[in-house]
Amino acid sequence: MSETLERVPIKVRRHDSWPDIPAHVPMELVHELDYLDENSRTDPFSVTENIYNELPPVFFSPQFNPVLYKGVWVVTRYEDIREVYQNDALYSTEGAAGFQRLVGETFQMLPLAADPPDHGKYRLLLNPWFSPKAINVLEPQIKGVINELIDGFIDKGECDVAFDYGRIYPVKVFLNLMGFPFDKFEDFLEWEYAILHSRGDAKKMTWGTQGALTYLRSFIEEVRKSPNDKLGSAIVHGQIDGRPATEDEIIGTIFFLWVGGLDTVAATTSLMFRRLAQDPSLQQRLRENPELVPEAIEEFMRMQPLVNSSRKVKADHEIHGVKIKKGDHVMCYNTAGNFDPNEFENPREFRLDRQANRHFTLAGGPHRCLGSHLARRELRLALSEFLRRVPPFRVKEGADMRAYPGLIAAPRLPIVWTPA
Amino acid sequence: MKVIARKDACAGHARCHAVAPEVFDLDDVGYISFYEKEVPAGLEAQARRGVRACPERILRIEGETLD
Ligand code: HEM
Repeated sequence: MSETLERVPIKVRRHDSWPDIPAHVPMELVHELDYLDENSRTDPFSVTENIYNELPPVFFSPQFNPVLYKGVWVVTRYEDIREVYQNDALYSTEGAAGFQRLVGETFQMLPLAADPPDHGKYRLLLNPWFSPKAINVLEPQIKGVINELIDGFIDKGECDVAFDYGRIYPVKVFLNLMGFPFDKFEDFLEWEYAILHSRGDAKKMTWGTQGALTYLRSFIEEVRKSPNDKLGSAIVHGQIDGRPATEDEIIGTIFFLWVGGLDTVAATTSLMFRRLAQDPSLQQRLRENPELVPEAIEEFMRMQPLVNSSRKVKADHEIHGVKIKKGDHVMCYNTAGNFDPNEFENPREFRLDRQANRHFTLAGGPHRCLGSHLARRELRLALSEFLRRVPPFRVKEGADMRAYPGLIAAPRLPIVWTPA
Repeated sequence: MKVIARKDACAGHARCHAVAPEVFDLDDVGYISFYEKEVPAGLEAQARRGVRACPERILRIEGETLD
């Protein structure tokens, strides 16, 4: 497939329509990022390949999420990202992922928006449900969901692996884990899609968010009356630090799980199959050596860092000599950091023999993705079961190969194979 | 050979366990279960791989520096 030359992040000047750039930000450190642009590269994330040559290690991006943050400091180096993730005394998650505020909600996204030590009290309730051991118990059910989907298209010789596979199985797994009734499946898919894929259409986003919240609140009332042995019920009846969880804590936790656990896995799946469909030799290698699949999942995740975390600064300090002030926001730019040559040799190369693959796609420090072990298991099974059953596949002729280097990823990806 | 863990800084990635399950025992919720542990004979190479896999850099082999 042909590589089109895309823009790398470009330098920009002050612009009238931007929110005010804080006075302590030197103009020469103001740079805008174009990373949300979709592109047709084999590796959509390679739009940042020149970032270390062209931009300083920390710079100010005025347009990144201007509604919530009024611009952020962006750190791009792997070591700086690790410091921001780990140093919770200096970097707070206060207000993080706060897009529910846009529909007038005042609850916090939990456990994300809580700092240690409070944060630990929420994780204490949730961690047992997401430990590697707990995920072992879920494995047969995940496998069942995945194989049922494969049954549906295997004889057809084609499927939309993003829309009909990656988009679906995380929702089914999640319904079961949480104890949501199965007939909510279609609604969940629609709300989720409206929130993520309406490309800035505020009306649709609001519709999706409100639809989900209204339903989740009625669900909470129901399990309050009749508890069961699923995670949703465990949260509703949960104890935080020896007292019952509040309304806000319950909806904040359930809604954030809903937001965090569905699209992330769907998007990762779509990009993983996008690479595989274009790389027959990688496909072949994994078919012949299924024991390499876990290593491959780590490398897919490293090369597809979907989420860049933001933190609120708690005290004035400097990063690489740049003055950062209390109240500023700092973003861990994994879109660059997962390709830092000081941490990853030949970083733009997909490799199955990395000595250590310490990527931050699932974050780090106390907020390390709660669902990381579930996500890894889902991805592993989605890949290994597919390769086990479906013959070698390729992209369908004429398919739109554009993808976003972020959560929207590749919403559609038709692939074809010759049925056995 | 001894593995040393800054247990309180463990974030539960469980990457050490993924590459060297016999060396890195996890607690019930998936975090490292020890501050230090004698590496069982024959598992030295595995132990080193596990140490290197930690994204938080909280693991080391006694007397050795991290790369
Ligand atoms: C490949 C899939 C996934 C990716 C790339 C991903 C990524 C992330 C990242 C980067 C964070 C940190 C956010 C921050 O620091 O601001 C995070 C946190 C979180 N994720 Fe995931 N995630 C994935 C799957 C899941 C799943 C399946 C679930 C649950 C069902 C989940 C639930 C959470 C929760 C609850 C947090 C907050 C943890 C805390 O604050 O302590 N994630 N995730």
